[in-house]
Amino acid sequence: MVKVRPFKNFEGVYQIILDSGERRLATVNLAPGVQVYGERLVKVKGVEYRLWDPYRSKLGAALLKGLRRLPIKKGVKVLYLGAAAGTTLSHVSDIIGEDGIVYGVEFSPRAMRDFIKRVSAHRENVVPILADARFPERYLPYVEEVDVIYCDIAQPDQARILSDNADFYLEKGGSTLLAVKARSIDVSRRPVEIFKEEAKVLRSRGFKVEATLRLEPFDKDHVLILSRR
Amino acid sequence: MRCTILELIFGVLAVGDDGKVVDWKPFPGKPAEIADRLEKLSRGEVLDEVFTLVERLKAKGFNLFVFERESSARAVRDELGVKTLVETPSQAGRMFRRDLASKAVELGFVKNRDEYLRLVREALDLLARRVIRERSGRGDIYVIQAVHALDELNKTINLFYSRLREWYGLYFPELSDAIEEPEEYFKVVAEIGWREDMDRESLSKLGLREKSVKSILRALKTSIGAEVDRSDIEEIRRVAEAALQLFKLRDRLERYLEKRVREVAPNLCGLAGPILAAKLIAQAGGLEALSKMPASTVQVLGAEKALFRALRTGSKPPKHGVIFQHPLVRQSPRRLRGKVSRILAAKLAIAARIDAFTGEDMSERLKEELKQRVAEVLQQR
Repeated sequence: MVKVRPFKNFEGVYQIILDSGERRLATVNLAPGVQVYGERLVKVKGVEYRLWDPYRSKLGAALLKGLRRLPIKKGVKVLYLGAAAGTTLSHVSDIIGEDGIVYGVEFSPRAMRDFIKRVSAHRENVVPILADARFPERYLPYVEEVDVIYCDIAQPDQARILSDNADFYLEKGGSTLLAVKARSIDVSRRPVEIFKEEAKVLRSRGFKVEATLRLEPFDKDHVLILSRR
Repeated sequence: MRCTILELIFGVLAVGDDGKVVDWKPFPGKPAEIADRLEKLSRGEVLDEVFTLVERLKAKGFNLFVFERESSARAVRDELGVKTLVETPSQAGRMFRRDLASKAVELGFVKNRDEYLRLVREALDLLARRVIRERSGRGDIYVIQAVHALDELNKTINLFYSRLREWYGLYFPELSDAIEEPEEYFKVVAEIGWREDMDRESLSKLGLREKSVKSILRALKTSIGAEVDRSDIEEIRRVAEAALQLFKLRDRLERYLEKRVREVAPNLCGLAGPILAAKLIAQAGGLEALSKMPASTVQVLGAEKALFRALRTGSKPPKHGVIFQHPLVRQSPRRLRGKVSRILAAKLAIAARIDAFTGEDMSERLKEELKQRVAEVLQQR
C-alpha cells in the first residue's frame, strides 16, 4: 500500500512511501491526469500526487538537503525567472494552489513552447511571460508585487538580475530563492568562492541571506540561496 | 498639476499624487486586443490610448506627467508639448502593482479576480504564441535543423562504415583497402556480397571507378577471409543496403539545404557556400544573431573550447572556427591562415548583416572584393 504523509512542516509538500518502501517527494497534482516532465503520477485515496524528482528540480533537491523554510506555500504570489520548460514551476504551481499565482518568465521561445503546452495550458494559476528577465521594466504592465521571487537563469550576473527584479516586484519582507550553478558564472574559479560572492551581491542589495544549500548529490557545484528583504 | 501615467494590462491610467485614479482609458476587453497593445508596448511603440488620455488631462489643467516608460514619456513630450518625467518604477505604479486584480475590479474593468486572471493569462498566452509562431516561420530555423540533420547523417554513415568494415571484413578483409569511397564499399557489399560473384562484369555494372574494380579483382585472388554461412552474409548485406539508402538521403538533404540557405541568406551562401553558411547560422543560433556578432566572433565560431581555454589560461587563441572549412582558409599557407581567416570573417559578418536586414543579393560584389583582398595578402610572400 502506498502511503502519504506531509513532508516536514511544509504546506503542500508530501512524502510518498511507495510499495517498495522508497520515500519520494511529491505534490498534489493541480491538473489531474497531466504529466509535465514524465514524472510518475500516484493516486492515494482519490487524490493524485506527482512525484517530484530532485535530480530534475533544484527546489526539490533543496528540500531534501534540509531547506528550513519554504516561502512558497498555499495562496502566495510567485515571480519565477527562468521558467524553462516548467519542470520546477509546475510543482510551485501545485503548492500555491488555486488561490496563488505564479508568473513564469522565460526568454527562449523554444522552451516557452513546451512550457505553454505542458504547464500553462493546464494550470489556471500560471501566467506565461515570454520576456528577458534582465529587463524587469518590460513586464511592468502585468506583473504584480509578489511574495517570492524564484530565480534560476544561469547568467553570470544572476544575483544582480534577481535584485533588479526584486526592486520592482518583491513586496516588503518578501523572500527570494536563487539557484546558482558555479560553472555558468565562471568555469575557472572555485565554486565555493563563487557562491560566497553571489551571497555578497545579494547582501549589498539589501537582502538578508538565510541559507546557502549545496545540492550535491543531485546537482554538482550548485547551491540554492534563500534570502529575505 | 502633476499625475502619473500607468500603462497597465487593462488600460492606461492617470493617477494623482493622492493615489487616486484621475482618469483612465480602458482597453477593449478581448484577450486578442489586449495582446495587440502589449505587443506594441514591447516594441517600444506608444499607444493611442496614452495620447488620448494625456490630451484630456491637459484640458483639465494637468501639466506634468510622470511615466514609467521612457519611450512614452519622450513621445508625449514631443507630440503634445507637455512636461514629462520618467520614474521607473513610479510611486503610483508600485502602489497599484501591490494588487492589480482588485484595481481592475474597482474600476469596473472586470467583475472579479478570477475574470481578471483569466484575461491576463489568455492575453499573455496569445502574446507568447505569436512570438513562437513568428519564430518557427523563420527560414533560418529550418536551415539550422537541416544542417544538424546532415551532420548526424554523416556521423551515422561513418558509424555504419566502420561497423561493416569490421563485420564484412571477417569474410573479405581486403575489400576495404581496395576501395577508397565508403559508398562504393556499401554498394559492393549490398549488391554482390559473395566473393565468387565478383568479376569484372558484375563490378562494372555497379558503376565503380575503374581503379576500384582493378584493385578488387586483385584482392580477390589473395583474400585471407574466412568462409561464412549464407545467413551471415545475408544479414550483413541488409545492413549495407540500409546504409546505402542513407547516401541517397544525404544527397537529397544537401540539395534541400542548398536551396533553403540560398533563399534565407544569399550573400552568406555566395561567400561561404551553403553548408558552411548553414553551419555559421546554426552556431550563432540564427541569422539575426549571427548578423549582430562582430567579425572577430564569427572568426572563431565553432572553436569555443579553444577560445575559452585561451582566455582562461593565456594560451594562444584559435585562428579559426568552422570557417576553416572555407577553401580560402584551408588552401592558404599555414602562417597566413590567421590573416585570411580575419579577412574572410569580416566579409562574412557584412554578408550576414545584408542577409538579415535587407536580403538584397550582393554576393557577386562581395566575392570579388574578398578574392582581391586575399590575393593581396597572399602576395606579401
